[in-house]
Amino acid sequence: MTIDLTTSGVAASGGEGPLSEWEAWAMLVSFRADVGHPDAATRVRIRSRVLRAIVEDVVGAH
Amino acid sequence: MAPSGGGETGRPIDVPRDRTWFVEVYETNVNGIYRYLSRRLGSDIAEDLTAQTFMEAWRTRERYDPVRGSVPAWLHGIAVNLMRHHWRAERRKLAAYARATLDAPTATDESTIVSRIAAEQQWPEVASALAQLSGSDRDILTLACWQELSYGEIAAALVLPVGTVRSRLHRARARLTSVLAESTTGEP
Repeated sequence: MTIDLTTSGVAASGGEGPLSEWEAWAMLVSFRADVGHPDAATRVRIRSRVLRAIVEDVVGAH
Repeated sequence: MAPSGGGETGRPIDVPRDRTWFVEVYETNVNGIYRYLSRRLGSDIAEDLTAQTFMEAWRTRERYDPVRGSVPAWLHGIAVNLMRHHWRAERRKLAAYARATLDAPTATDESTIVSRIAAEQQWPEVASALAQLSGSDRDILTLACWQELSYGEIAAALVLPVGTVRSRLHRARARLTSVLAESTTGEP
């Protein structure tokens, strides 16, 4: 599964001819690579929902 | 390939699945799961599904078997299962990406901007190609490519034999390459 994503890998794949599997993989890697971690507000909302579910579960178990 | 995909608790098997354990699981993996879901479905659905993933993980924590796979593999399996209800939405979103002119990059470093512009110019083709793959092929490809899960971890996440993961990933990569080649050259 390891695909060489280094500069030498790019060079080895060449720039001409049919699209190589490496190039397709590299394009997939780059797709929406700008998506980051949740911001603070999102983290709080996710955590609140999960915590609420845990509390309800724990309280319900008692 | 080293397992990653957002973290690993490294807990021994007999550790009780209590709140302390779960908090560690949550803190170690929440960003990775959110990022994966956000990349596939967008931030709105990702927020909801990330919460659902960990709520389901809490409910089923006693069934988690470390022998079968790592914590990230288990969590990605839950996330992928939840995402199956959104495959159609994902396909619509990918189709929209394929048509859309994307926002200008926000990076300030020149080399980063150049590389991002180069990458973003390819996004419509990538989105179009992903939309043409089956949902299960997207699962395997993205778990390997974006989350860098190993064959074994993908197998654990999707409850498949490792050999099946290997062959399906090979097939999905070949299919992606073929579809991308068609969309970038206009020829099959």
